[in-house]
Amino acid sequence: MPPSLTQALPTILLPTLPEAQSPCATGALAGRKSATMQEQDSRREDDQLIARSQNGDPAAFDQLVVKYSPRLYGLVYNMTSNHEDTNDLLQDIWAKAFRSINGFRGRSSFPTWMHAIAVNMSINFLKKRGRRSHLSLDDIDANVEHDKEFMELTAGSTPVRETNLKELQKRLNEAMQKLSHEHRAVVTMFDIQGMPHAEIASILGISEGTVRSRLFYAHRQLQAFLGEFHQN
Amino acid sequence: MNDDQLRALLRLKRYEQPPEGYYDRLLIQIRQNQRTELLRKSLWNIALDRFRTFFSSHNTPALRYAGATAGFALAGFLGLRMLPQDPPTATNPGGAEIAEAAPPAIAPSSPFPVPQAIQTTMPVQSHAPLHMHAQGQLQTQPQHTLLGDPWPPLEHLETLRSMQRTQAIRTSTSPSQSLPQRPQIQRSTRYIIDARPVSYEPSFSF
Repeated sequence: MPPSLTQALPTILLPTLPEAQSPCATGALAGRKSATMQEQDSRREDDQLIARSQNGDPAAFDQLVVKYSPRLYGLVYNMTSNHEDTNDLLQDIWAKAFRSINGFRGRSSFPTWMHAIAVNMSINFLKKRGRRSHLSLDDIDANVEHDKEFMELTAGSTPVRETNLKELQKRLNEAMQKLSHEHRAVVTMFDIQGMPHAEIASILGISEGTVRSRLFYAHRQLQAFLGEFHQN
Repeated sequence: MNDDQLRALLRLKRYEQPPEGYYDRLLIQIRQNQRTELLRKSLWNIALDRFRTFFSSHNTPALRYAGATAGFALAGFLGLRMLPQDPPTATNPGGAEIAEAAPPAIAPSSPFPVPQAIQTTMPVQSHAPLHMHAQGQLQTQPQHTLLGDPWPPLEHLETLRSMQRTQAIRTSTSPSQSLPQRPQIQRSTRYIIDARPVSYEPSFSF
């Protein structure tokens, strides 16, 4: 047997490790692992806070309020497009969560449960409010100027670059209000908050296929509403 | 506007935030609302809320069906209890209805009724005159009918002990003289032993 072949045998027999092939794959995998671990840690923390709340510890419930209010605010605000209504709804949502916390059995995650309450109460509120327009704009955070997508949108010779940011925000809110409540909820959770299809389906109690079809239809409608503005 | 541009535009909405300090004020407002609700609500309202929350969290179709079935059963039971009962009479303290023309529930296997059955159903009229129809039906009549009405012929007297008494009554010259003083019998009551028992007649009508 030639010496080159014998030297090559151990390397042939060793299994190849895909993680070691490129540093990019290693980084992405490490990122996915850390996100999963973060989710697990978050869920463990939620379970402890929920258990303490169910045992009558109001401070634990306050911590849940502080933790999930920003996400719920984004959901409700994009449904109502009105700051005052969002504030009132948030208080009602947390009041209902406080009354129902003892019935939470952990079949779904706490964020999913809270989102389901928020979506249902928002839709019920919007149905009662009717078609009256109550748009009010929140201040856009200054960090948006550093957002990559914002820079891409405002770069180049497109009309968006010359448009006032407030005007763009207003047009987008008007377009969102023209969607039905169910379509707006799906667009808010997927496009704005970045939730996966499975979680949205779990929150709304529908199938993933229905989520995808509603998204497709809502995008077509928004494109039609915003197309005229974009051309002008 | 293509899909990617639209999605990018929508993602910018996540930067829309409330004013600074909003979430701290929100927490304080939530605490105040909780205290206010507890102070304002009565115990009854709090219990009702807890009741609704309990059943909404345990909302399964099986519970709904069980609850509906139990509700129907309870309503049916209460409805049956509230049905008007027949008033009791002197001959039947239990309140069973005795029709004037309907015979008692005696279903004889033979054309001639059994003496025991007759005695148990006609305790008051044990001394009442008995006569047999041509079809073999035993019939009792109140005393006032003895004066003028002709009696039908009696048949098969040997099978009934009470028939002998009837024979003695019939052979007397003056029914009113031979008859001892008897207590007043209710004229409305008349027992007719028929081949068709009373219980066969339906007690309800559509």
